[in-house]
Amino acid sequence: MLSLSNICVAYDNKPVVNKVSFSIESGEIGCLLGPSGCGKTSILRAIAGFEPVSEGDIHLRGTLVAGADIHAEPERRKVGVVFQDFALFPHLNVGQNIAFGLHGHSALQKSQRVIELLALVGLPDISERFAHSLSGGQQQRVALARALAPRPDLLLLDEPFSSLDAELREELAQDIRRILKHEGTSALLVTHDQHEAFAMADAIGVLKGGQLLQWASAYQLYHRPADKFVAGFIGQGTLLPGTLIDNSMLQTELGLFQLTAPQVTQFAGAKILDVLVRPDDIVHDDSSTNVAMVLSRAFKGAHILYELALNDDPAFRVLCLAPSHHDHELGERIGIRLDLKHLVMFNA
Amino acid sequence: MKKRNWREPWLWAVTVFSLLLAVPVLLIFTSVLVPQYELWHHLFETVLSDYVYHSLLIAFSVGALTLILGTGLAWLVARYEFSGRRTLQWLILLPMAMPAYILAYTYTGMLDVAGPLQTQLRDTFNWTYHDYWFPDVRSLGGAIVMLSLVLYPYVYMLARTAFSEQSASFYEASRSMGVSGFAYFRKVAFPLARPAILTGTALAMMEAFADYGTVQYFGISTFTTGIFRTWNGLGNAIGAAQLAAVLTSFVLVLLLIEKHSRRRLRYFHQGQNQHSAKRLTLSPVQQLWTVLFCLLPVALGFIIPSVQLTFWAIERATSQVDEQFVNLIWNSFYLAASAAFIAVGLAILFAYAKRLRSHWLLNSQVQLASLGYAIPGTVIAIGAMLMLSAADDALNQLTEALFDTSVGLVFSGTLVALLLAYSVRFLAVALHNVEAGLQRIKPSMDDAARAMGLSPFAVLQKVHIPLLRASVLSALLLVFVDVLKELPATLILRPFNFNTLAVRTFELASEERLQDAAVPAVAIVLVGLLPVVLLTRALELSKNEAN
Repeated sequence: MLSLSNICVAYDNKPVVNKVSFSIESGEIGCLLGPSGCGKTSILRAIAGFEPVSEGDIHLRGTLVAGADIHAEPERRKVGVVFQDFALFPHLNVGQNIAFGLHGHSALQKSQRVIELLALVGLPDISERFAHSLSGGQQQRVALARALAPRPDLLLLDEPFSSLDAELREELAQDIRRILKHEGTSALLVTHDQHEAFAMADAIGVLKGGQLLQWASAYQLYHRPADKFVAGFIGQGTLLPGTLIDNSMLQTELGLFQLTAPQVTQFAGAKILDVLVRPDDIVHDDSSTNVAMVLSRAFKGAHILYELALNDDPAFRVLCLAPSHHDHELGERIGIRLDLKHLVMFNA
Repeated sequence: MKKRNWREPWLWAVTVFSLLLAVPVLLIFTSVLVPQYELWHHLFETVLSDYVYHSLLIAFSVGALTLILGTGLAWLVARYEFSGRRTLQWLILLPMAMPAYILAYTYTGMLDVAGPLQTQLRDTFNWTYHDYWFPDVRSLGGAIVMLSLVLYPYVYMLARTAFSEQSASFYEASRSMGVSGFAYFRKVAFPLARPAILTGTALAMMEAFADYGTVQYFGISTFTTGIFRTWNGLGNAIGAAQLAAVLTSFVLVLLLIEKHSRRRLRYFHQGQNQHSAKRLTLSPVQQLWTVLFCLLPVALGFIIPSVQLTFWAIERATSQVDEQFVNLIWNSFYLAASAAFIAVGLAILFAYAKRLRSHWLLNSQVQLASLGYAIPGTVIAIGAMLMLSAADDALNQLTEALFDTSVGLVFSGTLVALLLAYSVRFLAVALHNVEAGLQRIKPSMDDAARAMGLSPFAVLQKVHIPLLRASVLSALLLVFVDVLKELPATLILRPFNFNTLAVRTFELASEERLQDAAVPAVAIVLVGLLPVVLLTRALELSKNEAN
């Protein structure tokens, strides 16, 4: 459906996207995730045709639409776009907004499509209303309906939830995912919020400084991050230093770990490695003889997130998510058990 | 809000002054209660259809021309990048400095049979007077062109701001849905800017309705010349007021359109806080055409006539600049300055009253008092005359009863009449500026200053005055210039033998001494440039704030 190979985007000769490649299959929902200024929106704009690429190719439905010397105009790319500010036309009512991109249809076909889409986004009775009288969440749904109206096979969404209340975001993200799957539309979402990415996307690309660090599923990003940045950006966790023994065993404060064969090759010659420890790798168990000291605690409702020092040394810390009724004080030593399924390590 | 008591000084002050300003216009409407069958029969038989037809034709043609010209120029400047754009975007405003009547005199002088252009043509081609056709400037079409040339900046200014504030995402959304180029202008950009464009067009049409100098000079019968004729020629004050009431009803329709458009403007503006679209670059040939198109109205509306005026003025300076001329300048100056101080003083009173005591009665009184900008000067002058003559009558009856002596026309025969008419007409200009300045002083600033131990007087001195100074100064300047350019009300209300630059220009032109008229005209145009400079700076500033 969509494939990018080694694309670069530059504003005034200042590169903002550097050799990014990924592809989205038909019906798949992808997401570009990264902090602000990482180039994710520039990639989206290049795909929509609002910005030219300085290097690399973009293929849409197998056709080359952007390259060093090729730039198909946005109106020829037949890609739906949902904008950060929704860009609903204030002079048109909801129905007219949705029908805006329907060219060469009869009035009857248009109104049928409008009714169909409004039903799909769960707002059946607002066709006559104007954008300024709608709530943020309603505007968001209308913007989605408008982008979907011409039946594009690819939909681009630029920070679509940023102007909404936090409670609305996840609910809408799941709704939109259901609608896209129902319509069989491929999509690419841009966001800085990993929860939105997790809620919507099949595949997520993490960007930093214009480069794509990893393109993978949410599970993979969390459990097998490609580098320290991805590990730190996605989810919570700490890095625990360990010493490599015989190129195959890692000695840490949590004990001795066996490296897999590929890891042995990857880290051949290294002496110190950092092990990624997620909060769910450490299980709180009052009966365990293995204890750690509580450095800080954050009440999360159903859980309490403890920051623990191993061997009473604050240089070695791990996080632990304990059930809420396990209420321990700062400085208290609590029992922990290791539940590490697979070892993720980086060069220190 | 606390309950207001009847001894509220703000409410009283505003009530007194707003009534004073509203009475002239209200009197115009009460005049219809005194039927003038004979006059209306006469008017109906003779000139009434001309008044209606000419006034409407001029207003609507000027509306259409300024709409097309102003919108077109604004679209080019806001949407495209071409060399000279930055200079052109303020050059386009220059014709605002040129009163339409001065433009009319200048073009008549230039293009008349005896004027330089036709003389040159005859000499070059050996033609005589009957050999060729030449458009007559002194015609209905001529008046429409003259008025449009000086009024299109109203539409241009508002349309340009509207276009450049349109969010880039509207453009991008349209393109992603297959709409670009002219279709984008037609389906999105123009409808979005329509409230602003309609507001500008309504203002231009109000000015066209109000014009007296141009149509009088071109010999076209309209409502304004008719009011004059009924007042001066037929000596029928009530009849003149009734004609004025009809004219005012036309204008009130425009006023409703304008107010409605401004309301729509507010919610069209919502959600347009994103960055505005990048300007599209034009090819060199397109750039050339664009620059020529933008220069055309500036050249016709300002550059050519002001060059011609300057030549004439230099030619006649020695004979025209004398003691009488210095007197003229002094008269104009102190009249305009006094009017400016009164109008701005009232504006400050009204603006503070609204800020401190938000009361529906007070707000609607201020609204009523500031409607004068829409009412033609001729109408206001008749209204002011009716009101002040009545006041004079009452006063004289009183003094005769008490002291057995009459004091004469202390109101209607003096500068009081002019100052009242100017205040009615230009209060809105002053109020608009003062309120804009006051809006920047957030109520929380008052509270913050008070919390830091300043007395109310100290807050005024240390917070309000420094922050308000610029807007009060620009309000003073704008009223000053408007008064200086004002012609019809000044003609009707000026005391005997009292002359101003505008009146003198009009008199000389009426005597067909167009070259002599250039001397006071140049003075008016030069002063008229000041607000254009101010506007340019304000537009630049609002753009910087938007970025």
